[in-house]
Amino acid sequence: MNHLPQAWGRPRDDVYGAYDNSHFQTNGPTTHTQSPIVTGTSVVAAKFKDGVVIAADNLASYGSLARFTDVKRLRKFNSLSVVGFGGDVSDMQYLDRLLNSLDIRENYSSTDPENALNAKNLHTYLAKVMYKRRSDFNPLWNHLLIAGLDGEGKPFLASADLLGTTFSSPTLATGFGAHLAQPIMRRVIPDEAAVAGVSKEDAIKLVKESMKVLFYRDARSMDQYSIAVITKEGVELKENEKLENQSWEFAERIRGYGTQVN
Amino acid sequence: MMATGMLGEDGIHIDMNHLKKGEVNLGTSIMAINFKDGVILGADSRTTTGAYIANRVTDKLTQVHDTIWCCRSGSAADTQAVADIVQYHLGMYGITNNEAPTTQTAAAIFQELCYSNKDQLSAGIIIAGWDHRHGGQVYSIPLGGSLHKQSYAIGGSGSTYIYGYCDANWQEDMTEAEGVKFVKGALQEAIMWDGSSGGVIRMVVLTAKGAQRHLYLPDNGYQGPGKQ
Amino acid sequence: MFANCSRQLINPALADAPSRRSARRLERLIWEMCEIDPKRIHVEWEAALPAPRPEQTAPNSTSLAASTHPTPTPHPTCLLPEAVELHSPPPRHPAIMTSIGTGYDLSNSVFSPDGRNFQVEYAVKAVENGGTAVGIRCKDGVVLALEKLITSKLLKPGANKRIASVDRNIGVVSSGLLPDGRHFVSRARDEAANWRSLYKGPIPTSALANRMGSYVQLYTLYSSVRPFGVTAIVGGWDSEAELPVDGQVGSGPKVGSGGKSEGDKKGGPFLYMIEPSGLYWGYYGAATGKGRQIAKSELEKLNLTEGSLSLEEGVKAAARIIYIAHDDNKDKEFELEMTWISSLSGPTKGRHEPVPKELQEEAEKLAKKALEGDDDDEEDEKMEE
Repeated sequence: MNHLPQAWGRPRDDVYGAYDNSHFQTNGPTTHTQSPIVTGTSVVAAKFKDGVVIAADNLASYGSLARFTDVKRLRKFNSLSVVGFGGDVSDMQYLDRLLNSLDIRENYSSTDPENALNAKNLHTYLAKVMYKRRSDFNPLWNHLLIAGLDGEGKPFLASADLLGTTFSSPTLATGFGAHLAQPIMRRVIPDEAAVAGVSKEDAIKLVKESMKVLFYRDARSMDQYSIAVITKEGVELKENEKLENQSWEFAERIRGYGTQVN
Repeated sequence: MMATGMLGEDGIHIDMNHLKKGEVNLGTSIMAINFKDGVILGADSRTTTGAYIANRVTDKLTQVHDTIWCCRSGSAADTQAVADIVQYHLGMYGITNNEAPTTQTAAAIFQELCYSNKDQLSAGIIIAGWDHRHGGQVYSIPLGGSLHKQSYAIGGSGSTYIYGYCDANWQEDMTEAEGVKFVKGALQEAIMWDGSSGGVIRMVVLTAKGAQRHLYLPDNGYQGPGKQ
Repeated sequence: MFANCSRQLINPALADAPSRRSARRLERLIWEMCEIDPKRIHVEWEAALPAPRPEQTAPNSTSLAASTHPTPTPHPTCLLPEAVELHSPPPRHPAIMTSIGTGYDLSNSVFSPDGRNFQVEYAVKAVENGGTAVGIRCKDGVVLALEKLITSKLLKPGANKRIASVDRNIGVVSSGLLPDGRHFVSRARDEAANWRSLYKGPIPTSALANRMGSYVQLYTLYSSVRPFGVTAIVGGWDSEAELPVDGQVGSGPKVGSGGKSEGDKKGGPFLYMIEPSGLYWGYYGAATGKGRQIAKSELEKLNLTEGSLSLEEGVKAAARIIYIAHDDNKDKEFELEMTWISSLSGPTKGRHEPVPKELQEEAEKLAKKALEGDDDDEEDEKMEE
C-alpha cells in the first residue's frame, strides 16, 4: 500500500502494469439486467352475458420455492374493473401504486360514477405504460388481464404483457394458463357470439375448473386462490377460496409404470 | 464498451469484476417473528468471501430507529448503504413530524430503495419494528424489491433449510420465552445445515420497553449468555 | 455615512443625472403604452420626485429614526399608483402608521420601519372581500362550508365547485382570489403525492398544513412575487385504522400484531387554517372571508372544545352559519357548498366528499328557518317597543 488512495485495493502497477481507468467510465448504454424474481403464475378470466369472471392463485414463488402463500394478485380498481397480475410481484406492487395515484387524480376532476374510468380505459392506460417501459428497455415483468365493463356497460376482457402487446378475447389466460386453461375455456366459449349464452354460474364454474387443472399441472401454483366477478352490480371479490372437488382417488389404481400389477 | 467481466490478457479485469460480484457476502440465516408483546429479530454471525469466513462475529441486526430494526442479507456493502439511508430518512421523519416513524414508514423507504435500484443491489432485508400504534410488525423485502407483510419472516441462504422447521413449529401469540426458543431452534438448524451460516446467534427483542439484545454462543450449545 | 450611501442608492431623486434621464425615458414609454399624453401628467410626476411629502417619512418614527432610515421614493417604473394617487390625496393623520405613500408597501419582502409587511396585509384585505368559508371539527368528522357568491346569472347552478379534495381524506376551502386558491390546492395535491411516493401512505393533515404553511410563507420573502390572496381552511380525517404500506402484499399474524399500547392517539379529525402570511393554527372551528366575524362568534357558541358535536349537527351548524354570515350581504346571490369527511365507520368512510343532496337541502331549510326566526324575534321586539 502506498500514499495514493486510488491505488488501494487494486492490483499493483509494478506487477500487473498500469490499470486501465476506462473501466470506471460509464459511457456505455444504461443496462437493466432485470429478470423476475418473486413471481406469480397464471391469471384466467372468462366473459359471460352480464360481466366477467377472473381468478388467480395466492402464491408468489421464489424460483421453485413456494415462498409467499398469501399474495393477492387480483386488484379491484373501481366498481367497473379488476386487474389480474401474472409475473414479477415487485412490478405488480409498482403498478398497484400507479393505479392508486391514478385513482386519486381521477377523483380530483370528478367523483361522478358516470365518468369513472371503465375497464377499457384502464386497459388502454396500462397497455401504454407497459409499452413505454419496454421501449425504455426496462420492462415491467408482468402479464396483465383487465376485466370489467366497457363504456357501454358491456363485458370487457383484454390483456397487456411486458412488451405492451395487447389481446382481447371472450376468454383469456396468462402464463401456464394460456397453454392449459385457454383450450378448456374456448371449448365452452368459442367466440364472442357464445358469450350471450353463458350465465354467471357457468362462467364461475368454468374458471374454477381451469384453476383446478392449473393446480394439477402447474408446478408454480397452489390450491388457494382469489376470484372476482364484475357485473353492473359492482365487483364481488373473494380472496381466500380453496380448490374443491379435486380428483386424486384414481391414484389407487395406478401401480408401477407399465407391466407391474402389484 | 469492453465488458468488465471479460478476462483480459493480464487477468486483471475479471479480478475487478469479481470483487464486485463475489464481494463480502452475508451468506446468512436471518429471521424475525411477531410475538405477544412485540417482535424478535435473530441472525447468525458469519460473513464469507467464497469459502473464507471474513468475519465470524458479525452483527447483522441493524438499528434504523429507536424500535425499528432490520436483518440484512446479501451484499454487506449494499445492505449497509441501504440501512444508512433509511436511518437518515427515519431520523428526519422523527424530527420534522414530531412523531416517531412507524414500521410501515421504514418498510416503505426500504422498499423504495430496493425496488428502484434493483439492477444495482443484491439485498434481502427483513424489517421488524415496534411502535405504540401498531405494536410489533414484520416485513420482508426479498431480492426484486417486493414488500411482504408476514407473521414471521426468514431469509438468507440458510433459511431454505428451515422452511419446514418454522412452518411446523410456528405458533401465533407466543410469549417472549417461547419466541426466543423458536428463533434459536430455527437458527441452530440453519447454522447446522448451511455452510454459509455459522458463529453465534444474535437476537433483538423489541417491545414497549425498548430494544433488548440477546447473545447465544456455539461452544455452550447456544445456552447463553442470553440477555445483554 | 452609510445612511447617506443607501440614500443615494435608493432615492432616484438623488441619483445621478444620466440614470435619472433614462428613468424618465422609461416612464415616457410606459405612458405611451397606456396611450396617455405624458405632458399632462408630467407636472405631477415632477412634483412627486424631489420633495418628499410629509407622509413619505415614517410618521411614527422619531426624528433620529427618520434621519437614519432612507425614505424610499419608489422607482420611476413603479410610479403609476403614486401619480394616480395625487389626484385625490386621502387625508391622513400623521400619528397613524400608514402604508400608502410611504413606499414600504410597494414591494413584497420589504419591512416598514415598524416591522410590517404591507403586501401581506393587502393580501389579507383580498381575503376579507371573499365569500365566507367555514370549517368545523366535530367529534366524528370535519365539515367544510362555503358561501359561493354568484358573479353571473349565466353560470350553471351547482357547477364550478370550489371546495377541493387533496388525496382522498383531506378537503380544502378558501376565501379570496380564486386562482390563488386553485394554485394552493394544486400545490397541496403535489405535496400529498410526494408524501405518498416516499412514505407509501396518506399524508397526515398536520403534515400537509405544515408544508402548505411553509409554502405560503415563501411568498412573503421575495420581491418578485406577491403573497397568496387566500386564507385556506384545510380539514381532514387521519385514518384510525392500521393502514398497509401502499402496494404491500400479505397480512401478518392472524391474531393481529402484539404489544400495542391501548388508548394511544389513533387518527381522527383535524382542522387547520392557513393565512397569507403563512401563519397557521389548528382549530376547533375556523372561519374566513367577508362574514368571518359573525361566523366566528357563531362558532364559539357551538362549544366545540367539548368535542361533543356530531358530524350531522356540524353540517347543520355550518349551513346556518353561512346563511347568518351572508345576511348582511343580502344584495348578492349565493350558493352554499358543503363537503364533509367522516370517520371510517361514518357516512363517508374516511373520505372527503360533498355532503349528500338530501342532507344539504335539509340543512339549508333549517338554516333559512333559523334566519326567519331571528327576523321574527326582532320584529316582536320592535312591536314591544
